[in-house]
Formats: sequence, C-alpha cells, structure tokens
Amino acid sequence: MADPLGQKPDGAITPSPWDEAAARSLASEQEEPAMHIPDGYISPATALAFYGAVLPFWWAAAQRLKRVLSGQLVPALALFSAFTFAVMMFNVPVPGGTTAHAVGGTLAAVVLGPWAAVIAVSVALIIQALFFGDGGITAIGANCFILGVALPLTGYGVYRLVSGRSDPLSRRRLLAAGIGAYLGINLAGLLVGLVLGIQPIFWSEDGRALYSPYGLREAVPALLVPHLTIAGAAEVIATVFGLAYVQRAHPELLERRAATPRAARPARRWTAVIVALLALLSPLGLLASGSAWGEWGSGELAQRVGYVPRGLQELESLWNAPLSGYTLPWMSKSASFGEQALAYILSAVVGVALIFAATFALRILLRPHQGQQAGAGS
Amino acid sequence: MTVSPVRQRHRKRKSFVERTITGVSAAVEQTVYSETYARQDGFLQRVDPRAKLGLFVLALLVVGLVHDLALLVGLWLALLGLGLATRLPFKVIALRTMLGVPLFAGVVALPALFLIDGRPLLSIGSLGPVTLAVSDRAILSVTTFLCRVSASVTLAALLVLTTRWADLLKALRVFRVPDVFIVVLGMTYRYVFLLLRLTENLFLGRASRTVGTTSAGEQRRWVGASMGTLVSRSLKLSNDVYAAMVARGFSGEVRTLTTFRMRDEDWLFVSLGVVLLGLAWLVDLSR
Amino acid sequence: MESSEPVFRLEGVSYRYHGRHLALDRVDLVVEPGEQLVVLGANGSGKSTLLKILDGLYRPTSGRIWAFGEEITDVADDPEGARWLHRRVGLVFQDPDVQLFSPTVYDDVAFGPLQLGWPEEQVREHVERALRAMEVAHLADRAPYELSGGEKKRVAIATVLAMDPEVILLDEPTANLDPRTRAALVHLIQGMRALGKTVILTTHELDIVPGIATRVVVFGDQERRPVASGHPDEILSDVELLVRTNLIHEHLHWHGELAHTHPHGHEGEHLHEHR
Repeated sequence: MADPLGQKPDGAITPSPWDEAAARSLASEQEEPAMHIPDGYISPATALAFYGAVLPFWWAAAQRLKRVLSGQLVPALALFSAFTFAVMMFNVPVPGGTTAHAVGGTLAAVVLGPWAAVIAVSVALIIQALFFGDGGITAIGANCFILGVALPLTGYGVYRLVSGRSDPLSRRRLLAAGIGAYLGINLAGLLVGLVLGIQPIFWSEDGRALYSPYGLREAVPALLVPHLTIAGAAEVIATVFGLAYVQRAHPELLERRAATPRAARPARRWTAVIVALLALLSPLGLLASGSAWGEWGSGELAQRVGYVPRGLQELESLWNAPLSGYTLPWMSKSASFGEQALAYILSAVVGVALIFAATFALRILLRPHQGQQAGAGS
Repeated sequence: MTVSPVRQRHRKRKSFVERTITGVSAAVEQTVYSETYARQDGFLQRVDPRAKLGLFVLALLVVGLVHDLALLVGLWLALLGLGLATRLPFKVIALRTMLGVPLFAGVVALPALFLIDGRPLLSIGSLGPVTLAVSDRAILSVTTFLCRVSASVTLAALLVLTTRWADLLKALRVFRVPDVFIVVLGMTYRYVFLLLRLTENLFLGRASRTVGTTSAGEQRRWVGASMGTLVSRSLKLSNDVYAAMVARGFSGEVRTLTTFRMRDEDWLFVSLGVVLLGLAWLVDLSR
Repeated sequence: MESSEPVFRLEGVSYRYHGRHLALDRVDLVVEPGEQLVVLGANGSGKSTLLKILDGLYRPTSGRIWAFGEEITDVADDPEGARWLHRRVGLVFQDPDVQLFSPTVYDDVAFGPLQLGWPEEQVREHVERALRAMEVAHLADRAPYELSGGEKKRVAIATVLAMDPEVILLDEPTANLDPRTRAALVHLIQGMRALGKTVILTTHELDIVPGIATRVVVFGDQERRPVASGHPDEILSDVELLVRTNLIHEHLHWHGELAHTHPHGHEGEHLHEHR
C-alpha cells in the first residue's frame, strides 16, 4: 500500500482512494481505539457535567506544568500528546491470540509525570474527535475525564503507592506500573459502563430510552468484562514492557523524575495522593452502591433475597420524605426510590460541576487580554 | 468496546503488526482525503469556519436534546441533504455517516431489542424460561438511539469534511479557548503525523524482517521497546522544536495571526441556522 | 555597532553535552561581515554545535563569544538579549521537521516576524516576500506533512528569510536533497552575497564549496576545533588535510588493468582523469 505521507499531494489526488481506505478499515471491522463514548450515546446534561468536571483538572495541570516547563511548555505538551496519540494506534498482542489497543495513560504518567499525562491524553483525544472524526465532540468532556484524568491519575497514584521508595530502575517499579495500569484502565471501563448505564434511568420517556438504551445491569458488565480481560491485558503489557524499555535504554528519564521535587514534604504529598485517589473513587462508590438501589427497589430486593434489611427500610422512609416533595421533572413517575436517590446524587454532582464550569467560563471570559495575542487583531 | 466472539475469531487471522500498519495508514489516508474535500468549492466550505463551528456545536446540542423521533429523523435527513448540497460525493457521506459509528452502534444496540420490557410486538421464541420478544418500547428506544447517533455523526463528519483543519483549529477561538492551547493542539496534530510515520516504519521494518511466528514474550518486549523508542524520540523532538522556536524569537509568549473576516453571508448563515435550530427545539418542547 | 565590528568573535569556546561528551574544544574564530563562510567537517566534528552556540541557543561550557561587538556568552538565559540576537541572526536547522512546527506553511513563515512584534501589515508583507523568494508561495496553505523533502527545505529557509536577518546560519543545507533543489539552493546562497548578507554554512560535501565560499574553515573530527582556514581553492587542493580530517578517503579503483588508489570525496560525482 502506498505511503500517503511520503507522496506529494499537489491537488492531483482523486478522492476515490479515500473510499477504499474507509471501506478497508470497515472491512477489517471498524476499530475503536480504546473505548471512546461517541456522540449521541449520552445526554447533553451528562456531557456538560463532564466538561465541568474535567476543567478544574486541566486548569490545575496547566498551572503546574507552566511552573515546571516554563517556556518549553508548548512544544513539550505537543510532543507528549502526539506520543500518546501514536501509542493509542498500537495493536498490542494479548494472551489468547487476540490484539487490543492500549491507552498508555499510566505509561505516560510514569515517564512524563501525572499532570503531563492528563494534558497529553486529553489533547490526543480532542485531536481524534475534532480532526480525525473519532469519538464524540459533545462527549469530549466525558472521554477526557475518564481516559485523561481518572485513568492516569489512578494509575499513577497506585504506581506510587506500590513502588514506595524503591529504586526507579527496579523490578518493583514495573510491578507497580503494571498494577496501576490495570486498575486505571478498569476504573475507566467501569466509569464508561456507569455513565452509559444511567442514561435510560434518567432519560427515558414513557419507557423509551432516549440515549444509550442499556441499564446498569447490562452496561457495567458489558464494559467491565473486556476491560478486566483483553483491554486490561493490553494496557498492562504496554505499560510494563514500555517502562522496562525506558528503564534499560533511557534510565536518565526516570532518575530525573525521581530526583526532582517531593523530597521536601513527602508526608504532605502522600496525603495529597491518597486524598486525590479517594476523591476520584468516592463518587464511584456512591454510584456503585446507587446502582444496586437503582436496579432493585426494596420490594424487588425482598423478592430476590427473601427479606429486606431493616436498615434499608428505615433509610427508605427517611429518603422518601424529602424526595416526595421535589420530584424531578424528567423522571418518570414510576421511578423507584433508589432511582430517585441516585437522581439526586447525580443532580448534586451535576450542580457542582456546573458551578465549576460557570466559574471557569467567567474566568476565561473576563480575563483581560494582556498581550496574549499579537498586535494582529484580537 | 465489547468484543464479540465473532470479532475475536476474526482477529486471529491478522497479526498485531499488520493490524497496526493498516490502522495507521487508514487514519492518515482518511485525513489526507478529508483535506481534499475541504479544499473543494462548495456551500459549506465557503462558510467562515468560526460561524460553522459555532453553529455545528449548537446543532449537536439540539440533536442531543430532541425527544421526538420524527423530528430527529427529519434533522438527520436535512443534514444528509446539506452534505449533498455542499457537493460531497454521496458515497463519501454514506460511508462516513452510515457505515462507521452508526453501524457499530447498531451492533451495540441489537441486543437491547430483546432486553427492554414493554408491549411485545414480535415473539422470536423462548430460551429456557426466558421468552425472546421484541417490544414496542424496545424498537422505539433502539431507533431513537440509532437516529441520534447517526445525526450526530453526520454533523461531525460534515464539519470535518468541509473545513480545513488549520481553519477549524483557529475557529476554536470562538469558544474562548486560550491561544496557548490552540497552539498546542496545532503542534500536536503536526507531530502526530511524524510519529505515526515513525510508528508505521517501525512496524513495517518488523514485518519485513519477521519470518514465521515469534514467541509471545518476544512480541511484547518488541511492542514495549517500540513505545519506548517513541517516548525518547518525542522528548528529543520537543527539545529540538523548542530550540527552533527560540531561534526565531520565541520567549514563551504565544502570538498568532487572525485570518478570518465574517462576511454578510456568514452572518446570514449563522442567523438562519440559529433560528431553524431554535424552531426545531421549540417544536420538540411543544410535543 | 559599526559594520567594521566582526559579526562573531569566539575565544576558547568549549562545549560539553550533559557535562560529559566533548563537542567543541577551545574554538577561536572570527567571522567578518559579508563573508560566506563554509565550515567543513566530518560527522561528529562539532559543526552543528558551533552553529547553535553562534545562535545563542547553547551556552558555551567555557570561553567567551561576541556578536556585533556585544558579548553573547550568556544570552541563552537572557530573553531580551536573545530576541535582539535572533532578530539579526537566523538559523536554518538541519532537520526541517524540527523547524516547521506550525499548522500551515504560511503560519510557519509568519511565526518569526510575529515574535518580533511587527504590525500585521509588515508581517504579511515579509511572509509573502519570503515565500516568493523561495518559490513556495503556492504552498502557503499546505500543512508541513504534505510537503516533499525539497519543499520542506525551501520553506524552512523562507521562515528565516522572513525575519530579514543580517546573518544566516545554515546547518547541512544540502543534506538529503534532490539535485535540482540542491542547485537552486547553491544559487540562492550566491544571491545572498549580493544582498550583503553574512552566510555561515556547515557541510561535508566538498562539491558545493567552490560555488559559494569566500572562506573555508576545516574542523578536525579528533580535535573538535578548526585545524585550517583559507581560500576554498587552497583548502580543496590540500589532499593530505582533507584525508586527515576524514572528509575524503583513500579509495581503491580498478580501471581496466590499472589499479590505483586516489583520494575520493563521499558525495557528488566521481570525476577524475588517468594519465
């Protein structure tokens, strides 16, 4: 096949080969690099909430990187992002004779640093969505939050916890990175499953699902199982063997990272890592426990388990009171108590996210343009 | 997403090397040919990219919000018409907007037909205690889902196929995206091609050297080493590019040229688009 | 700053990469205005490093350096001084992929003038002039990845010409070029002399030297500093020097019954006579 990069397209190209390229990639079955959420799968409210959730992380990452990289910020971030993009195109052979794509978020976090990884994966995803037409444009916020923030930060946090004070070139670091990568990718898979799974619960009209039609019971296992197996293996292989190569061929990269800051206040940094992890995991916990309620109202639970725990009954009566007064307009009347509880938790999350989004939008809109642009117009 | 058994069996035929090479070159080819359509003369191609991007994002929102199925279908058909009106070949629109993501979504959504409860319309048979039946709600749910995904994908495809990417990049200023971020995006896109080419060469080099099958351990080490090679190449490039920027007077502050001028036609296009989309939304609310 | 000041003056300049690997060893060098200086040297003789030090991108490990009479030894840490230097000195990197980092050719050529803070009118005027000078105006809205090797090189030079520097540094400009682009490039460098520009270029390709050089400096790949300097004819006829600095090698030939050895350049055509 011709190398399209090597040729010199001076307008003489006939469009037909594009069709062939498209058809070929379809014939070799449309490959979804990792698990993007495309447009139309989630409601605009969900999409917006994720934009709100991801903005503070981008802002924090940019602030931190500006300090560390100063003038070199722009080219460094661009090349890190391009690297992440290329890694997402890799097919990784996994046990059992199949292949899968890796995200490489944990590898990027370990080698380049967690905040650089946040930006690099996010930029790579935005490029894919906007210029390559892969993944959704409205879902950029969700994809970036799940793959660009939750995945690398979890992977990196676990990596740091497991590796402790070991030598950056030791085998323990490989193990740590592998565990981090596995947990990171599975958290991402779980999050995608949850986000898709709550769509029919909240956005249904007379029993008709408006967006992704699967409930939590189907969506979560459907996403988690491949991530526990194939995608998880691909991510672990990419991370462990990639890191092993860097340890061997470019040890200075890892030693330099290990030598830089942190030494000053190790205790505080550890707390920060743990708090960040908890912060990431807590909404998950809420959602996960919520999913149990969402699927089984106490009545259904009684049928299945044979009895209803007293505590749950009391909790239900406690919840029913405030909820009955404020029914959410877009919830079907028949929604069970659990679904409503979940709805409230989610509205709280959405609310907080919207406040974040509004604050940041105002920041950007109201900030004076101090020489950001050249004399050439604004 | 989910990996069905059929796809798994199919996967064994091609090695990870071939799959990567095919994937990389298909991505690059697609982009190169997208650019040739964006260069052609057409109605949407002529619209100011900022106006187009703003309106298309609004349209994505409306397509996302609409409840009414008929309205959704109408919007989708209108978008397909827009694609033809702007002189994109039908084959390209069809390939891009019906076979790719929507086809995938169809496969994803198929089981939902049997999983959603409602008034059964069609009974397929029974599997043990479970009866396989398609309900009215299931059909409505799946149709809504597919139409929404198709309309969204059509919108995104029209945007990518009628806008040169450098223009699209600059149009992001409409959303007050900071200049630094726009420059990072632009530079990333530029070096993605360099690194993809390097990736392709790494894999082609392996394909030409490998005879017969190799051990799983060797394959993994090789993939790891290739990723490591990419990391170090990226880091070296980022140092060199920085030097090249400094050599031309860069001191950390981003300066760019503004090149767009909104014409009357562009304002007309935006106003008309906003009115039509608003109308669609109001119609949907009133139903 | 008078034009009588040398463009560059180096005193005992050394450079070590990562504080270890020695790239330049106590270099002394003076470059006068209007010179077309060719720095000849085998790969690894420190030519590229020298250009980056002249352009203020690397700070010498030891020694001092002046440009237009001002000391620029520490200019790498001085943004004001760096801008002043980069306004007057332009560097064309060996790898055009490093130099072309913008979305389109036009943006790339405009990058330098924009950094200088010129008004938009002036920026556009200079960009268009540079694009025309390098015969790449028709590529203005192309992305760098769409260009051929020769086109990339032309655009890379245009990005420097657009800033209208007094001194142009070219790092291995003819490497990996097709013969046509190569000839055009030699022609362009000759044209720069007419404009009164000072040109310093590095190469290991002997055949381009006579057409463009007013002076040649030879770097030794062992010494990592200049080992000879003089008129091109003088240097190119010193076979012993060229062999010693690894620019040509003794090559064994058979011509019919006659076997002989003779010095042989690495690049270019193989032309010699037998008596």
